[in-house]
Amino acid sequence: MLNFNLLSLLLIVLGAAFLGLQTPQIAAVARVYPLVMIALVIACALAIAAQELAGRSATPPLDAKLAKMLFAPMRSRIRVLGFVAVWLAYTGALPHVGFIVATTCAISISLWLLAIRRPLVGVATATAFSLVISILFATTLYIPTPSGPVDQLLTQAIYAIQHRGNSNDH
Amino acid sequence: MLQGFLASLSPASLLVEILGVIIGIIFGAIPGLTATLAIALFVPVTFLMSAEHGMIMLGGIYAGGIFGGSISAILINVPGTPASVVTGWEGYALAREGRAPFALSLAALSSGVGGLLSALALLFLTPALSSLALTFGPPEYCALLLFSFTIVTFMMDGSLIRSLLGLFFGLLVTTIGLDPVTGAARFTFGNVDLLSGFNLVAVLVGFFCMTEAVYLASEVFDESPSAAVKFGKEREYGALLKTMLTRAVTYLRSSAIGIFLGILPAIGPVETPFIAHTIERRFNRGDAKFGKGSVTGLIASECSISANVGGSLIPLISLGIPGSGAAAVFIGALTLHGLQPGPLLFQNQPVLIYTFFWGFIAVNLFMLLFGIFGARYFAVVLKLSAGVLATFIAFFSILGAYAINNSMFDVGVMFGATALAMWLRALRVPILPIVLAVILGPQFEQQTLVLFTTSESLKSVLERPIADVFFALSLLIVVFAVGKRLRN
Repeated sequence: MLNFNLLSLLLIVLGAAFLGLQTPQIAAVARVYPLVMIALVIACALAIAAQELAGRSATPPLDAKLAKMLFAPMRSRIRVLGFVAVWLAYTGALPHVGFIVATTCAISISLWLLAIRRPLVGVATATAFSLVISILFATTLYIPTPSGPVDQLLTQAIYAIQHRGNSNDH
Repeated sequence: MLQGFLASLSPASLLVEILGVIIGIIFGAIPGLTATLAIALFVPVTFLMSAEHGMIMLGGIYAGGIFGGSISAILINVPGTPASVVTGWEGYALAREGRAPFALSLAALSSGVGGLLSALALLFLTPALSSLALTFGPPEYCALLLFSFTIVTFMMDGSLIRSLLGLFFGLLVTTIGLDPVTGAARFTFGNVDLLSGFNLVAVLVGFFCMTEAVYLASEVFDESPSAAVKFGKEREYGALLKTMLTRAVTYLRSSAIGIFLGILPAIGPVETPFIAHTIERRFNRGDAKFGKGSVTGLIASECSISANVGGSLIPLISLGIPGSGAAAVFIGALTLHGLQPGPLLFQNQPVLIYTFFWGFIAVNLFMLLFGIFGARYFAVVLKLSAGVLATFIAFFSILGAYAINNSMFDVGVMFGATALAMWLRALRVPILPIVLAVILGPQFEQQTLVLFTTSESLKSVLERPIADVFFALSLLIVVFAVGKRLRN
């Protein structure tokens, strides 16, 4: 743990020092405040590191939830990593495949990893959820989402239904 | 005024009041979707109705959105809006004690009381309070913000130096982007997305929502006895009434703080609960549960947020100055309806203004009733398994971060904030000073720079009594906290 703490503090000091090296490129008036903060961050990090090295620091207990996660069995940790990977991949895929397809896939896999043992139930839930949310966003809440081929088909279908309604009125 | 009162009770007004509150609660309860976003999205919808009904509906969305954020904060420790972070600390701890219905009802009651008091202030004190707020200059702002930083950092349990590291780290992060005074780019490395800094909502969603999703995902395989929230059977209406009566001073104090901070053109509902909570902590030194399931803390947070909403409408209506981001969108909506906010609005459109004022009171009453009597229906969330919750929190966190600016960059910021929060927790750096610094940092830097460039001498600063009081209190806290630690 000492190594982790010292390495982390070193990273903070190096990061702050790197920002400090960028300050000459900033206008004089605008650089004073960040420089003061950089100096204070480095000073605090060095003070903690010195305390750790001297063994004088009564290290506070680790956050309970984090401790439970870090010291969980390997199987659990792999599943949690899988969960994080799914949602990172979702972010990457969203602009390319569109909201409905990406959301359906991500929710299905995430549910399969964490909650639902029967994949078909997960896929059905995810598909229904994605469609309902898409329709709600498009027609009621007006929240824009990345569009793919399936999203465009849905938008056209909604437009056609609304337009048909208007035509009938006339 | 009477004409406005009657107009606010017409069936159409009642319908938009209820609709606004419900839409606001839905938006607020979804992590990342804020009241400001909801107002902005529904401005076009208000064109279908009269100006007063449009204003009432937006007021309902604003008030409902602020309360809605507390529902998920209390039930699953995921603040629906950045304003609900403090409510989450107190409310979730109460919910874990099996008092979720009480915590939800108390949040609704406190939110309603704060909103009602601010609506009354809006109705009767608008001109007087606006002129008082205009006397608040950079020395007062600086002193108030410094006081908040000092209380949170020095009064926390645990390592002082780690709290200070968290505070300065947060303040350093907020310097990324354009300098608030000169407009010079800092630490952007040529990245256009960084010019406006890290989006606050994306950072807070990462700190609190996505982090919680990861923790919940890890709980799925936890074989130890569950510490999950139990909703509880009892309704506790009696306890609710008793709490309100025995803590009347807290209600009044927090509402007053919320209203006043709302009037100030810089401090919105996100910053307000932190300040009200820290001030209330000073009045409740004996409360060991403060920050970990304190009823008083929950009241202070909720009351001040809702009071801030009403408070921010005071300078908006009377002077045309927005007190928060949502209020700024509100001004846009008024302008689009052909209304010019400012002193002339009272003279030219008295019925419209008083209809809105009374409508805002009705909105807060509806929010209070929905919150108290609908608490049990929100509990459906607790019936979902940790895996299902983790999945949908992750989904809404990403969607919420994306919806702020329709930008994948903000989603990246959200993931970065999640990783940072977990790393700093592993390093035992408390998250609270960082959050406070990220929220108040830009304002602190701006006011400090203005203070240093405009003040001729230290004497001119010391001649401001309000600033002097806050500076003196901050100094006392530092001396007291350092002395106590040295003795230990």
